[in-house]
Amino acid sequence: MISIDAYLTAVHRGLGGMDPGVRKDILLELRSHLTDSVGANGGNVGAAIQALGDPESVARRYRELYGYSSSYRLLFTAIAGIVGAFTVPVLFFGEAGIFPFFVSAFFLSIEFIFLIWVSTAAGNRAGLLAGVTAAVGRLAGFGVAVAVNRDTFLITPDGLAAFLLVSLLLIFVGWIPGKAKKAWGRPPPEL
Amino acid sequence: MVPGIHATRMAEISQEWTAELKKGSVQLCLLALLAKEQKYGFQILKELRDLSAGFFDLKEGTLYPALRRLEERGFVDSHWVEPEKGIPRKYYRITDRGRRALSEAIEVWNRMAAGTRRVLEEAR
Repeated sequence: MISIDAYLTAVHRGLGGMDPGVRKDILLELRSHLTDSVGANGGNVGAAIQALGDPESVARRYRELYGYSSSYRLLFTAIAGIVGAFTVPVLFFGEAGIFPFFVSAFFLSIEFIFLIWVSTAAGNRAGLLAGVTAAVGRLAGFGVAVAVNRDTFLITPDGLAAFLLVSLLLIFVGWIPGKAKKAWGRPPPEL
Repeated sequence: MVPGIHATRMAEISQEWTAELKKGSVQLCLLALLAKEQKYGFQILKELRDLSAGFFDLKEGTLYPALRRLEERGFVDSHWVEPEKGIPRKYYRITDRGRRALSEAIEVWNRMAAGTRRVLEEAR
């Protein structure tokens, strides 16, 4: 039989990434509830825990309400911006070499996957912010690439259009999945 | 099985429909329960179950997020009370904004109930 402490540890784990103060308050409240519940049911800890629900579901409901803390959202934004800088396609680097292009394609794939995750896990606003930062990071990376290869850099109109289109796409990929999840998720009706 | 309708399980209507009815009205009930005095979670759960004759037999893990949702919207606020003897409890109390929301929601509820009753009279 699971103890109250073990149950609360599992809930705490499920609340990872949330504001520490809120997590502490939630766990105190659940402990208070379980103490009341055990007192009312004649000391049956297992029944009190079962009535509260499995720790993953309990934690998920709080997560849906509070989401990730602002420091985590800031971290997601920073990662998106940094990865974005490495998504700049550089066909020729110095003398020659197409390798950096594949590197950028790799980072671009990582960036898309990351933005979809941020958007669905942390919400469309966090996703949008991460997407915009990714695009800004990409533009910054582009600026650095131009500055470093000033003499040899060649920009074609098609290449520039594709670059800007992909940059714009990053913003949409950050925003759309979270928005779709919200629209299709059917949250409980509120007053 | 939808919590709260164990004893009166209906054969023909879907459980989802009953669940939707509950979801739509549980926040109203929570505010109503807090209208007169502040209460803590376990107390709210018990009163909700008893007063509704078991209809609102909420899964306990859903109550606290529902209360916190009301708090996020400014309809209730909360504070911890640590008695000299016994366990600390978090009490919820309705705010002025919550009272206004409750009053409006009761008005809507009454209009819906009256309208529905009139329509249902046609089935007699």
